[in-house]
Amino acid sequence: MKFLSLITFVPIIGSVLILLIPKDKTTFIKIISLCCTFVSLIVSLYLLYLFDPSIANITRVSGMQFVERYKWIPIFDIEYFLGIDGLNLPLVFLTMLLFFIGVIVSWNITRSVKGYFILFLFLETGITGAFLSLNFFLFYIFWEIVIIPLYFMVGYWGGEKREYSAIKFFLYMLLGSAVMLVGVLALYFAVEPHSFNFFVLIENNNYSMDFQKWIFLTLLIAFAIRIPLFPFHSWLSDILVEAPSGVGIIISAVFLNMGTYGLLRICFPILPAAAKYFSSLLAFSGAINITYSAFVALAQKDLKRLIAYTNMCHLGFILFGLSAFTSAGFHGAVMHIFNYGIIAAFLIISVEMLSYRLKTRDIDKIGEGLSLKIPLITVITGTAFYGVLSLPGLSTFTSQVMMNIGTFQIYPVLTIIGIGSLIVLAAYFLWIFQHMFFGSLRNECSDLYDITKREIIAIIPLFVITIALGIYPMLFFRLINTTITSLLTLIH
Amino acid sequence: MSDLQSLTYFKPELLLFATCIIVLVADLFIKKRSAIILPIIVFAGILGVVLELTNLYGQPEIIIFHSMLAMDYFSLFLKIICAISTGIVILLSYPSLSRDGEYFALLLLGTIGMFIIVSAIDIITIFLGLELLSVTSYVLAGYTKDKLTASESAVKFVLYGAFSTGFMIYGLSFLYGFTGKTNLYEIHQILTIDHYYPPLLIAVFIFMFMGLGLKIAVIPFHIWCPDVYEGAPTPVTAFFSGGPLVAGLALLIRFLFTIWTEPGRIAYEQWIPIGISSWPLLIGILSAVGMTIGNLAALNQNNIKRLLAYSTIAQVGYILMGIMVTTGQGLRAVFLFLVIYLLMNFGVFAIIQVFSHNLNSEDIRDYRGIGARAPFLSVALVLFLFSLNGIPTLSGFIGKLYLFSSLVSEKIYWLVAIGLFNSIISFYGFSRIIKTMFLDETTTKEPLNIPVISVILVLIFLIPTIALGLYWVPLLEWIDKSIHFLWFPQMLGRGF
Repeated sequence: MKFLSLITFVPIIGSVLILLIPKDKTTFIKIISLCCTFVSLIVSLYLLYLFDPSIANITRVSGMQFVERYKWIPIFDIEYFLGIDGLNLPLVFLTMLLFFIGVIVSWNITRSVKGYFILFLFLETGITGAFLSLNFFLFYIFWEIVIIPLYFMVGYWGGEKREYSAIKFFLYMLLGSAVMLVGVLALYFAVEPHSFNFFVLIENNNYSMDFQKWIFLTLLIAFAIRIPLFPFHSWLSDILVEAPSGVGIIISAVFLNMGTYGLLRICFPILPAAAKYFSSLLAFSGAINITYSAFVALAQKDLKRLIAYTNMCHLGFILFGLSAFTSAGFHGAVMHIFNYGIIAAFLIISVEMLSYRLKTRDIDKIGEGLSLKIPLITVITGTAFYGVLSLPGLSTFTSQVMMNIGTFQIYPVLTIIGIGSLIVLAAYFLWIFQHMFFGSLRNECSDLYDITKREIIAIIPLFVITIALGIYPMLFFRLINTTITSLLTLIH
Repeated sequence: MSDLQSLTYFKPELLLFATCIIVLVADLFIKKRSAIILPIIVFAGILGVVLELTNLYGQPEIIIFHSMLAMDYFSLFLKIICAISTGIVILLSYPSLSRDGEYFALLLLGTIGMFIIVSAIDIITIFLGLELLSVTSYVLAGYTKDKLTASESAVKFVLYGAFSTGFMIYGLSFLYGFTGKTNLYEIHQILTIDHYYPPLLIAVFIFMFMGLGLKIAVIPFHIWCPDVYEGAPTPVTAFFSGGPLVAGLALLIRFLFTIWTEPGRIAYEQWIPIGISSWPLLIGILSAVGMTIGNLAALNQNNIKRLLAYSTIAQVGYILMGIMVTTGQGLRAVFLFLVIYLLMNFGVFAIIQVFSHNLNSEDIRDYRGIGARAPFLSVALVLFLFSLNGIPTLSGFIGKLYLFSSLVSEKIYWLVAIGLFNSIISFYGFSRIIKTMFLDETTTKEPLNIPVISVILVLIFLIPTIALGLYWVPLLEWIDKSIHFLWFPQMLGRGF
């Protein structure tokens, strides 16, 4: 049973179905989108259940499961090659879950519903394909194709400065893709016989050190634009502010993780010597990200812009955790990719709930004393905020601590700076929380209504996962353990 | 072989000429109100030519007319492309320009000119074909006599064209002066006898480039391009960006690869530049300049046809990348890109013809909100523009991939970087159109009047654009057969 192709292409089949429906049957369109994403989610849960963590090996095809491999253009060794292992399994599950939640969150779109969901499902196919593909050519196609629906969705359904942020986003991403193409082609020509297959590129690891360094830098720039690393980060805050909420969830939780996934899948296994060489560069970049974004976040009054910088901060932590190449750091970072993805989605939904009711995203104008009127939303937002701070009991605590332990062994000073910045950010979040929710209620907020059923359905999975993984992280850990360990042994 | 025997191999051109005569005569007899009969006659003629050409793939390659023309697979491939391009222009001309027999006669004579250009191996036939194509182009550019811009563009075209052709023939005459021969292969043989390359060869190269550069709109010989594209009627603009561009490039390739290179170790895979040993670098610089200036200038344009002119200039810059490397891989990339480019290009022209006709305007700012009024055509236009830009799963990406690969495998990274950077600039230019079509609001909401033939035409171009992006191997096989021009040692035995 071709599960991977199923979860990749069911959304785009849904897109085509929606294309045929007349555009005034909006409920029907939404139901079809819901069904498609639900089918993908169920299949991915089944994959989670069937996944065997013991056979993982990042350097061999045999380490991948549910492999689908068909020859496409044999002369260039371009294949349709999909596979799942401990690295992309959590990301694929995250994608499926968040797209399902995204459809629920996007339920009250009124303008051109048909176009929105066609693009949304197309986006799901693109992102899933990028996470699953094991052939560079296929990966590049999916990698580049996801920017198109995002551009249109932000440009048409976004906020006031939507066109500016959409085109800025697209041009940045195109630059990243262009740089990545150079890296892809250089690697292709560097192996004899020429190949786009990841495993051939991994086995053939007698590249000269100079070549490795240049290609690593090239690919690093390409992924740095998507992570986003300072100084390629200015697209993120604009687009998260202007994006409609469903798209915002996808961008902050899934799209950004494509960058770190690229590093883990491509840069580290194929160019391990260069990775070790640039370890301090990666650590510094991560630390700069953390510190810069934490302090810029302090100045933000717009909640969504604050979330953008918080995302950047935590992704900086992830890169920092990876850069030390220690077991704890690596495992923690990969777990944090998933955990923080959930929290990021959580954050956006909470902010969306608040801003929808209060018609503003400005911290000064929202609040105070909202907990008196909307207690459930207070709890939800509080959990999200505490997830950002890595409160013990929530999933991000485990991953954050592991990362810090890992990096403290190699880069103690940077770790201290990083944790310090996180504490500063935590203080700000706590202040916001107190400012918005506690205190005395203002008069004009008297008609606020608490959480609706639709919002509950959207939040429940995220809430459950955050708490469950906070209490018993082994659930997640055992899935990724062998894969990450094999990656780490390769690098050393 | 005698001239009469040569004529038997000249059938496609003769068929074109016969169609030309038939259409001129038929024009006298049909009622002027009918717009359909003449195109049918001409299209039938073109179809016959294409079929005849595909038949010729089975026959051996020869040279005819006392080594004036070469009927090799290289010229066969290009003739097919030029004939198909003319056929498409005929379809686009219905019904706005299809009432005059003279229009079709001019198109067909231009096509004969293109056929002669791509198979010319002698200086005199080069000039003959080029002039035939040029003069018919001048007249076609100013065909709509009641538009001032058309006449202005025609006059500009004549002046630039005559000037540059004069320079070209002057430079070619130097070659005759050095070697005493007019055949390209004989010239090459004599030049390489003792490997003495007179310094004046640099002047020859530059003068030749002036002539050819005009036809293919290389900077700085591109000045005619935006004005002529804007002034000429849309089907004629489509014609200029198709067949003549291909013919000019073919002539450049044949000229460069016959006289200015030695065959390398592997036949048809490597060529070593001679004469001025750094002429590939010159072409590389022209390519970089062309791409950048073309894309930058396109950002500011409001007239869609001027924007397409600058876009064509940029695309030619990409094509020159493939010529620069002087390898078989580069040539394959050039041909692949040419075929794909023609598809996308004609698709865009088919769509903007419908839009201009409905909106009575060629200004992009009048395209506001057209995404809602003509959804299929707007989405098709977006796909064509994405393909021109090199977005994956569309065929434009494959074309660009091949061009960049040929550069990367020869380790010419600087040009690759410029090329990739340019795709970002060009996307910004295209995004303006996309934004105006889809994201801007408008007051008029009624759907556009779209003739069925336009929809069919757009589909004919759209389907290969998407399909070739996923599976392009058949096209590659056809091109592999066609990178085959006759080499000099073979000439000695074949009816020379």
